Amino acid sequence: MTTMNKQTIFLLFSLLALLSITVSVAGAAPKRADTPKQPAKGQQELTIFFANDVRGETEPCG
Amino acid sequence: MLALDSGALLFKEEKLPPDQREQLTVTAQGIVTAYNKMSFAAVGVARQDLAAGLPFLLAVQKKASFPWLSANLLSRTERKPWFKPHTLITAGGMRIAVIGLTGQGADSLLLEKDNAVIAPWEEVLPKEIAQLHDRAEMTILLSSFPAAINRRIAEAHPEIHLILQGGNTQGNIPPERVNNTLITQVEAQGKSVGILEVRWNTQSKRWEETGAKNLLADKKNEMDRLGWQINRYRKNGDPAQTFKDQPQTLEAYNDLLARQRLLEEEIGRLTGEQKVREANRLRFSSYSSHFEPMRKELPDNPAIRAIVDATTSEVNRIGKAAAKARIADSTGRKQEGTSGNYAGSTACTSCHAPQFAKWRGTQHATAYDTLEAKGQQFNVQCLPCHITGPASQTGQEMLALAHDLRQVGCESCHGPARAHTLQPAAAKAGQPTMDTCLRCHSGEHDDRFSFSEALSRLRCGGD
Repeated sequence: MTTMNKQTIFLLFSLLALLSITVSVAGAAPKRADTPKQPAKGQQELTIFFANDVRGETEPCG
Repeated sequence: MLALDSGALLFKEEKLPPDQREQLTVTAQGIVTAYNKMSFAAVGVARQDLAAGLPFLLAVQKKASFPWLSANLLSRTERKPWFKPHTLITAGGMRIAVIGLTGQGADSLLLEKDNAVIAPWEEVLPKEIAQLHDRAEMTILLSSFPAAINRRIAEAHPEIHLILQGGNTQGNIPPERVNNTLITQVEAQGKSVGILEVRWNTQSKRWEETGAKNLLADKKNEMDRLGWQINRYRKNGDPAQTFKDQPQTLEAYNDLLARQRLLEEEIGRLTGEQKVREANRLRFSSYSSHFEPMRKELPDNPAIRAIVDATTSEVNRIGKAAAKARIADSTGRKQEGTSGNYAGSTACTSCHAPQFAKWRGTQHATAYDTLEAKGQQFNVQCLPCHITGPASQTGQEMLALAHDLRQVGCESCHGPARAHTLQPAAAKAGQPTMDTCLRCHSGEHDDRFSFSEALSRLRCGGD
């Protein structure tokens, strides 16, 4: 019999909320007064979000 | 920005209980709909994702706006991959290749009619890497192999720059560098999301050496300690004179001097290398990482909220229909399900009224009510820890349970008591052990659970 995580965080919309916050912050960067730091030649910057093992749960039970 | 998932997304186990299949596959489809909305770039195929069968996952792929990746889930006859082995993504101003690998295990996962086999990584990975040569500035592997295998992959293939592993070991694992590969993992069940900020040098494609800096510091510390020891010998003058009649002491002093000379050479060499690294710092890539807990306080995204609500509603609609069908079974069985040797908590009150009253004041007594409050009382994934009954109960039995077995009742702690109600002296009720509680209050579900604390708080008292 499977058991349910009563304290499972609501990943899906929480994760999207986090992604939304990050994207909006990134989008706001050009509005700042200071000049954004440019990466050096040949250097690229990237943010990777990675998730694992949602395992069929979408909503805390109780 | 790039969002990736290493797999084991859809199901917990490699096999689905037949009577739970419908609810579980509906949940799986809801997850995919949400992931589409969250713009995931790629998801690895892990063994658990095949629990509903290969045809199901292939059908799910058609509805997904992201690719499921597996370079080693092949057709048995043609040795061609059932899913995309890799995908090429443009992000952060560079081309990124993402490869998927499905972990190997028991052959019984795939049916004969599926015409599928999970091939060894050694067979497929070199070819994938060769195909991607010069087509990407960075290569990421989504792997559901165990950690030890991922280390071997990293040792064999410095062309893979990042391995996101999952589906096996528990817990957040910060990036560890093996050869030219970072290996990292975020914990299960979506309790955290991993965030890796990468500054990638597309020309060198190599990670910065961080270990050498620590080594130089260690050597300098050792030199300081050595200097202090040597000065103790020199406290009363030239040791060659001071200890001329103590050959062993003099020998120990000379050993220290020899060690000091060697250290000076090592420090000189490491310092020179450090200067070169500093000068060439920008030639290498660096990163910072952390794990963000998915706290309940994070705001809901309305679009995802709607998807989850719709999924939850459908899951419970299916469960409700199954409950009605079972109760209305025309074979003449009792309308509500009983669980064999279980009597129900009400049966205890005639002899154990004070204990029953104590239980009524605990959260166990309203465990089923909390499901009803969230519309989850027909979700067979939730029911096992909110009702009374044996662990072997099927989904159908749980859905049609007698009213008196809803909530976490007396028999959840003391075991089935039907025999005890008939012969109280001869058939004593049991006492809970830690294992009794850990069936539901496991670390995965209740990481603050303390058996002794719970027992002292919930104990109903003797007769």
